[in-house]
Amino acid sequence: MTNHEDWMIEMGGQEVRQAVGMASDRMLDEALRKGIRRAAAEQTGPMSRFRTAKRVRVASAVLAVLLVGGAGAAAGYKLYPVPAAGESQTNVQIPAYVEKMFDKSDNFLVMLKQAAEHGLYHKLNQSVSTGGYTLNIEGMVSDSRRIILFYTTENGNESLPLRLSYNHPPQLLDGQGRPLEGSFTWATYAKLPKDQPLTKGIMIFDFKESGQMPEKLQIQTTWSQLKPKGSNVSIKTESLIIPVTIQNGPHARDIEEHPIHVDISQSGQQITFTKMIQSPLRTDLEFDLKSSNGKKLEKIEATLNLASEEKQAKHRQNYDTMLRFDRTLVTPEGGAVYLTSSFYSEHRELWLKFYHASFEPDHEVEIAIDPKQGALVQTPDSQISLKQEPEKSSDQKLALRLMYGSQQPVQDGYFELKDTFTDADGQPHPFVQEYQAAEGTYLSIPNYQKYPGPFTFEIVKYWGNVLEMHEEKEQRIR
Amino acid sequence: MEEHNLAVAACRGDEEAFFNFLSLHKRKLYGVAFSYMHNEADALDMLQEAAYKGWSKCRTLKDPDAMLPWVIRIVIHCCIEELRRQKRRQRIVLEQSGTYTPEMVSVAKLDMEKALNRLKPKYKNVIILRYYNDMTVPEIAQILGRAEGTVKTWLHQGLKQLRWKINYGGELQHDQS
Repeated sequence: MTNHEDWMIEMGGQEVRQAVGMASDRMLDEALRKGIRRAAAEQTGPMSRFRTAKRVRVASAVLAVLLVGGAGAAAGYKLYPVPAAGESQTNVQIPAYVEKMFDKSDNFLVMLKQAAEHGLYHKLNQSVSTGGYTLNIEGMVSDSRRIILFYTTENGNESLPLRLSYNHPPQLLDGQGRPLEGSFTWATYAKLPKDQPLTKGIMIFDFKESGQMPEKLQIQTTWSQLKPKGSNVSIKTESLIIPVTIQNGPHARDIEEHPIHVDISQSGQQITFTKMIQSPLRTDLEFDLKSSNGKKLEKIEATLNLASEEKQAKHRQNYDTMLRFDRTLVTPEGGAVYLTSSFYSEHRELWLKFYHASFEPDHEVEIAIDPKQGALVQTPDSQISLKQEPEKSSDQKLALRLMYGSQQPVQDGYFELKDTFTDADGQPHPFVQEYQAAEGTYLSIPNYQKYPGPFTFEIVKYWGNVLEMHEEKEQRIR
Repeated sequence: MEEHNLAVAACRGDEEAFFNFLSLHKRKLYGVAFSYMHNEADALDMLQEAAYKGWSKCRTLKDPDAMLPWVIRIVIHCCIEELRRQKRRQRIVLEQSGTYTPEMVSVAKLDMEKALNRLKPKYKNVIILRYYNDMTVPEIAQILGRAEGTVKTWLHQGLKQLRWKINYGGELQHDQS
């Protein structure tokens, strides 16, 4: 092709990549959920409702875990330790199945192999069983802040694989069963042949700072078996606790700090990345948070990349240059982002690419609506507007549309409200809310004429109190 | 949960697993939709439509490992259908109003879109997936259910025709397939 045609195609590609970069996770997830919900609603009623209820329960549990920072441990468990198969030993080779779980060039796999070459991998082969479920820790890689466990589980009851329970994420406990400061970060499974009882995977735990990890600890995990097709039998879960002794290789205490200074200021928020800390298994980017508009913003979701060279957006998706994003920890003053480490590839340059961050406030926003007029009578934000939907309203139901901003079509009309409103007497009543992309959020209030107005609604999230920060040009930090 | 397990669970009727699977690939799916629709609202609609169709037919998918190419294929079909519908609607609107809304769109972009729209769908699909979504030939072959050799031929022919159509100012040329 000629340069001109190449350029034109590249322009088209750039447009797509920019659009993809700008799309928020919430917006995309909402579109997917709406489609699935619509399909589910058209399928059989009771089953759909069951599935939706299950999904809400699971999502609530996952959210609770994510936001609160760890759910309570499962009440009571039985522990039947299986004798360990001898002394643990250092071994360069990580289990073969781990290599199959990641792309060859995935930085996470590269990191594991390099850690193993530096004596950080130890074979354990330690098992516990209860209720027919067996957990075997085959080995572990650890440094002063992170533990990566390689495990297999076997379901002795049925030919169905086990998975970690959504409701009870793994926990780190001390010798007396008390929770430790370190916590579960993520886990993944190897590809499984169909209908077989063996699961192979890894689990990752993080301590915020080096020195917090005790030499001996216990790992509590809760397992459920995958549900058979069409089964409505309740899923059996078992809690397994396994003791682990941390093996400190000569490089386990390796750690390096690099001061960095990357300022990102948008929408009254300033994020300043101040420090990069690397140990063999984790890269931390520490940041300070400042707000110029006085909004107290507590929950943060951030997406950023650390790439080993400056790249066009399309190439940045390559695993061989990008460090895996693991987790964000945040306080009102700042926080840290955890990524895969490139400690043993430190000769490589690193580029910080800030894609997106959103903050949520720690309080709800209250609005009041006059049901007779179908109008807002109280709002703390003049950008919130309300429109009556006469075509969708009736004597039994009031239909309203909540919007944000002045643009038409409404681009930012996503609202998440508490699922009840209160009438003038302070009595709570349920209503239905539904977000439509580019239209706003529809509220449907049944039997509205029976209740005294005005009605008060609490908005948990909307574009006025969720603060979004967008992509910034990448900057070299090493 | 690992991708394969999610796909397996989705095929068995686990709605949450299907959502999680799609959510893992949402940016890829959105990218494909945006390549065809060129605006956020339509691309989101297509994402929603594909999720709707996908979940409606999920149980008919025999190989869970083929779920991603299968969903991408659904996104492409949704976009093509919608573009056909829009074409019909646009014609009616233009006839009624007889006006043109100027937009800040570069001539090059319009030329490229025009040229792409004049390609046979098979050529347009492979070019969009290859150059707008950075997919490899084997990935495209899997998505379109064709041999890799066929995809390579289509890419070659598509680019040849694209060059022809761009260089001649968008004048409609005879297909050379």
